[in-house]
Amino acid sequence: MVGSGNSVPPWANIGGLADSQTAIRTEQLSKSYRGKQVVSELNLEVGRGEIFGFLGPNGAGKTTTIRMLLNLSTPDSGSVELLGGGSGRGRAGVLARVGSLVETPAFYPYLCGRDNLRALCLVLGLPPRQADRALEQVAMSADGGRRFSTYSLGMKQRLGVAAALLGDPELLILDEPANGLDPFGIIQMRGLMRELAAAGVSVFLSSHILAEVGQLCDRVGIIREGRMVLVERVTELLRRDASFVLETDDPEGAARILRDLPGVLALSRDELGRLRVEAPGLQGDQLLRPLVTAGVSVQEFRRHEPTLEEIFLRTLGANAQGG
Amino acid sequence: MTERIPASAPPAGPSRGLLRLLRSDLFKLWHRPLTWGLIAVSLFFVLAAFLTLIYTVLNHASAVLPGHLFGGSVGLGNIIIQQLTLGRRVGEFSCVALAGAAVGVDFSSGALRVVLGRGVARWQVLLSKYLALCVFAVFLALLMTLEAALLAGFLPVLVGGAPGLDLLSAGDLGSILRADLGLLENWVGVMALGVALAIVGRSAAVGVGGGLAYLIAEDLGGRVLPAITFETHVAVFRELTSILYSANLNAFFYHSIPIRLAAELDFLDGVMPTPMVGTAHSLIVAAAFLAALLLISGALFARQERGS
Repeated sequence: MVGSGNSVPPWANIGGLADSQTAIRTEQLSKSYRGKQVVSELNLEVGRGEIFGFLGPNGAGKTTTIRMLLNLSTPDSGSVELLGGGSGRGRAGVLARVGSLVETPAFYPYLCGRDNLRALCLVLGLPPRQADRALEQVAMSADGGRRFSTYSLGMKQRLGVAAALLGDPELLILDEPANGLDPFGIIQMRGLMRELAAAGVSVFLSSHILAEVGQLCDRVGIIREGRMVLVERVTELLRRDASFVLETDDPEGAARILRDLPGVLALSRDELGRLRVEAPGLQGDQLLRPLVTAGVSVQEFRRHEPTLEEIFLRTLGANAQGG
Repeated sequence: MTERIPASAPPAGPSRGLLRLLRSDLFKLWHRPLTWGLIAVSLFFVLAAFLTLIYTVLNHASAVLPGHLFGGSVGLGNIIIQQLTLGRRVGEFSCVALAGAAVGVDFSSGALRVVLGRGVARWQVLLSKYLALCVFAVFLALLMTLEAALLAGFLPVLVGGAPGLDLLSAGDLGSILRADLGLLENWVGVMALGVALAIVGRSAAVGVGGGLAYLIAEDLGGRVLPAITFETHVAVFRELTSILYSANLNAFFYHSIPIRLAAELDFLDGVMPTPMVGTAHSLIVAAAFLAALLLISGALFARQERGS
């Protein structure tokens, strides 16, 4: 499933959204540490109710960007706007409506999970029962009484998400929320994110689990060396990068015919000797008909949609070669 | 479908936000085993002081007679304050340890960024920590005083002629209150030290270890340095020793307890008596010490990359 259930979500044609429709907006955001540029002129827009996946290799600047969004780090230049609120004193009020999990889940090791959330409830001026509700949301009620220092990585991660959910935030910023979760936990987390998005919560998440991002997110952005190199809707990305796989007794003959067809961008052979045809603008029958007419025997012909992982690697690879 | 409860509290004003943080910090102190462990150790040393007192009184029966240290109209107050004197020393170690741990764990666990990420101001975070630690100090002083008073009530049972709680006078209460103020002045100072060290080192270990090391070094230095400077016959060393140790952490406390107990301070708890400066001088030095620590720690805390 992709999308939050709305037929035409407000972020569908993202770009120049009104403030009321924007959950996150950064303009020319830059940050360097000790002379090394970590984030460079980053422009980003995330719509309300959208689930946005923020991808990139280690050291690409994801966490630094998230820290700047949350006012945990001061940008060298550029601006950040969350939920229509700008920087300065007004930012504090806006951040009260933002739940976050940055880097590793950070809690007091001597308190149990429930008391950690209660301590945060007190800071946020929330009734303590919110802690129990947040534990329920991440399926941690049974372990809420255990000391945080005894938690497994997955349990710590769940508690981190529970803390982010306190106060029913309008925007969730989650850095690797699925880190350490078992497959059951990942499925639960995915369901929770979808429910929240359906209820109008915007979710901005970074993750290394690309299959998960592909299933969950409406749009993804890929950052490399501090620069955004791709932002696109997941459905569009997968459709655009689709190719065709062809198995035939005469691959050379088939390649000769296909190469001459308008709209065919590239041909390659995979490890099994099958032809891979990249022709994003063409339908299958537009490729198949000339082959059949020419008498080429076709054993298998199918459309292949790439995984997000393939797109990720291709994008970063192309970017590396290009730059 | 996730149930949506309009539960978000409105953004708090500065004072309300500070009150929320203070409640949270007190909640964390209350639920922290270290807090209760340090309280237990401190109370144990008050008991130890009482046992020493019994030993002394049993060997010197005249001590509880009128005109002597633990007898007459001031005897009961002196008995209670004598226990607090040793309690103060242990409380000093407890306070510096708890202060270092309470602030340091925010850095080492990363919990600080969770709060800052919700838009809470840094100055509020630091101020609420100080206030929560001050509440702890008052709580510990009250517990110690109560314990010392209760133990003093047993003294007549063990030693005939010793003053009982029924003789508690307004004068005794005044003396005890002044001694408690002396405790608190001392503890607030060392807690500021523990907090500052934890912020400088960004860890609980530095806050606790550094604070304890300073207290031990001050005691040792107070004994060793004057002897060394006397031997060297160098005026500047004598001046330095005078500045550093004539109005040290213990100076105000020295003036906050009855003079006869103050004269025995070194014998009672191993602290160098500091009779050469007056109350006002000692208080000014303590205030300057506190202000410097608060300024340094506050400035460092504000400048550190948020939550890192």
